[in-house]
Amino acid sequence: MADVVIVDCTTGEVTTRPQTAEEIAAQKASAAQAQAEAEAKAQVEADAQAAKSSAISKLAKLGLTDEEIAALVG
Amino acid sequence: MANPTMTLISSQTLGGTTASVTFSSIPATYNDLKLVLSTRNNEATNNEYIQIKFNSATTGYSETTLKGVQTTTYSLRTSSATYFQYALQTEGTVNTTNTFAVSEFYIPNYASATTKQVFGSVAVESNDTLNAFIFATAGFFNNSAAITSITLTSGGSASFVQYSDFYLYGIKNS
Repeated sequence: MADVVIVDCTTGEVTTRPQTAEEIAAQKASAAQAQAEAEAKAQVEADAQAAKSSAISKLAKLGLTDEEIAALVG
Repeated sequence: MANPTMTLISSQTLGGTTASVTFSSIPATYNDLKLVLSTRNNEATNNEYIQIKFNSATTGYSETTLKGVQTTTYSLRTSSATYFQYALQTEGTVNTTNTFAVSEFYIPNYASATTKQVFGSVAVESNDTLNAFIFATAGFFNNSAAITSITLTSGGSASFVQYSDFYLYGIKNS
């Protein structure tokens, strides 16, 4: 179990104690939330990249050169 | 004539694995606060976030971040979150052994009875081939209470490792 460090900036007193069960649970909940948000964001980015690739493919089939496609979509 | 000063309020170098560091009872005698961190955690993740909370508040944290990892750039935005998530980041075990992420976090007018804007930045170039990163964050804390405590908690289910450093400075305009 990891410790928690609390510094009293007025007195200079430093308290080091083990994490409580409540603090561990809160940290895990935050981690799960952050992971879910990261996965959702990654999915949005993957979907956007897939749409871009699809658009480039369709533009190429229309006869645009690579330079022309790059000018349009970067 | 103005004579600005920057005073070290407190510093902590961790002696062992630590989940969080709290600076409490911060005196209201300065104009601004500045945090300087050198951190690494024990999880196999690059640029793991550090959770930042003021006064243990669980609402009102918004931030906009520009993030670069190797050659890829991103922008991130959170609004009215339960803590600052992107402003400070730390290295993990995938980064070069015994290297630490360097972060700064600036809080102007921390003791005022208004909302607070903040600025955070972090950089890592540990001479490996995959995991260099840099973040710059503009943040906003929608809370009018003076900031009297700052809690920094390692992201994920990880902990900061030994020899991580935490410095809190107070800055006076005169």
